[in-house]
Amino acid sequence: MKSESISLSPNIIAHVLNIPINSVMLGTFFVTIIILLVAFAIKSNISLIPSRFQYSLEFIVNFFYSKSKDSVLNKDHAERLTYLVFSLFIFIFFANQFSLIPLVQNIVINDGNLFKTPTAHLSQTLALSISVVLLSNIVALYISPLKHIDNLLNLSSFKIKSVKELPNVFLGLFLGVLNIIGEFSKVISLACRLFGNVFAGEVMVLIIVSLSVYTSFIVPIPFILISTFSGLIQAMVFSFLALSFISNNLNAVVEN
Amino acid sequence: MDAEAAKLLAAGICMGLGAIGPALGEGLVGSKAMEAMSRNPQIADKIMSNMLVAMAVTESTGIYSLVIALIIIFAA
Repeated sequence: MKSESISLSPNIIAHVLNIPINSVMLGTFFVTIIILLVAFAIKSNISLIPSRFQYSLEFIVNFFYSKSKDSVLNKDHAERLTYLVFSLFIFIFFANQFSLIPLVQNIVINDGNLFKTPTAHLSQTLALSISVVLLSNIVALYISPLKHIDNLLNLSSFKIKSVKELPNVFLGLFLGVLNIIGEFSKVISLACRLFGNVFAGEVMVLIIVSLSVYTSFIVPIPFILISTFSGLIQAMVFSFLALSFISNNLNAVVEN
Repeated sequence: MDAEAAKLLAAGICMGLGAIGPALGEGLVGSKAMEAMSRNPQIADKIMSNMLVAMAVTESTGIYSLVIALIIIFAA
């Protein structure tokens, strides 16, 4: 059994100014460089009359643009949100498919892999989800601070006309506290969903490969297919949920 | 029963019980989406993408139990 190769913590490779450089960071750099190369390759071949490949890429971007136009009232905001959501999608999609790149995973240094799938590490997904939830609050605060705080803490329930409505105040206060807890649970659920799916896919393939000699060649292929598909789905889900978090907060503060 | 065995057993029970709810929920989401798609095939694409998001949200409790099982095995 290769059970020691299933680990939550990444392999620390070097220290630069007392900051440990681990395999997840290197994997993230690798993914970023791949995305940059692909982007430059596409940009150099771009043309006004789209080729078949360019058209399919434009279709994906348009899909996200129409999604954000559907969920955000303001058109200018929708266009800006598309950039964020689409870059989240691209990064998570490429990061999820990291294990499909041949040979890169087999580079071993200090008794551990040099590169690790970035999204199979909780810190990476937590960073992404914290930035999304923080952004959703900051954007709403930037547009209309009072209105957002009012929405978050349910301050509108404090305006009462008679003593009979006092229970409404307590209910509003309770709901406000729940909203604050909800922001934290958003972070955790967003991060754990992505991490759990990607990590579970990796562990499943690893266990099937290490079961016996006979299951190390053809048998893992359907499982790799499943984890590839779920990587695409999770990238979509993460970006759509980010979109819905931000657009919910935006629509609440923007005047109709 | 030593501590290691108890850990493995706990992780197995956690994952097994935690998989029941999401399985039922995802089946419900899928069946309703199929119904909607067969009734109104023109918006099948829209329903499909919404269904995938809803499925992933339903799945999250199963993922939580997976994370807890991983924590029990590797971290605790």
